[in-house]
Amino acid sequence: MGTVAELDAALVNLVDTTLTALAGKTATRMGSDSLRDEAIAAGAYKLQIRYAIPAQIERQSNLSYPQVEVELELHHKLADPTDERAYTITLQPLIAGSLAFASSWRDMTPVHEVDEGPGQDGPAVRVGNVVSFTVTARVELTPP
Amino acid sequence: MSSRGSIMDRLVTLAEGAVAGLSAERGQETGTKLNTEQYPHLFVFEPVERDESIEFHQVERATDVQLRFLTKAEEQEAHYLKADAIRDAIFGDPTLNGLVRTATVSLSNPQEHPGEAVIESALTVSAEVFA
Repeated sequence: MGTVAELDAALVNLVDTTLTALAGKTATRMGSDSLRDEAIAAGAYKLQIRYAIPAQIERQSNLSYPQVEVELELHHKLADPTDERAYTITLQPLIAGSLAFASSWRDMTPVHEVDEGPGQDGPAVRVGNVVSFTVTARVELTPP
Repeated sequence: MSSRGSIMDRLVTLAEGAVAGLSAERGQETGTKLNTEQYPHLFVFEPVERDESIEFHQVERATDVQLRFLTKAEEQEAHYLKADAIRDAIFGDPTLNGLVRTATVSLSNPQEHPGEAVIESALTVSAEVFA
């Protein structure tokens, strides 16, 4: 059976693989997935992932597929705060696009099916020198 | 150099470029100590930082700097024009040559000291950065 913990590890791996390929970097998981009270070094990435379990999908009489809603948020502190677009119109869309491939999510071991998304949820937002964007998806985990 | 010192140095440079013959300096003395040849004169002083915490352990830092511009034995209108020129030079360089994210400047009402034939204008610059 796929678990949220296994999904979490697979998503961290997906982000790191994506960032390594596109930016030559990896992302540090923040200590909290809810609070935004951690510093980020200039040019670095930090990651938060949040989950919700909205429903159990019963496809066959003896199998249920836990649905999981995923909110994956990637934060990047601009290396050059005076040139925000050097990130937001070049690298950031590439990273978001790469994370939004359903096949990448479907290939994760704990994932049975992708029900919705993945896709970027709204535009990137900036707070201070940190630019953040969120990718959301709803997946079904593999049954027991 | 300190960030506050860099901001003040930039303000001195801008003001000197805006008013011919201006004698500008960091720090403050009383106007009565100036020699006649030191007018028009500008003091750039009292940089005060105010930090406001924002997400990701960052701060939005505003540095407020006071400017005191003095002329002697000049018509009121001539003083106003020079004070305006200093204000406009600072307004025209909102990043202070890349030192800050944005800077604003305000010019207060002038004070006249008739006994000394001195007119004085105060300007306040607020320069903001994310740190």
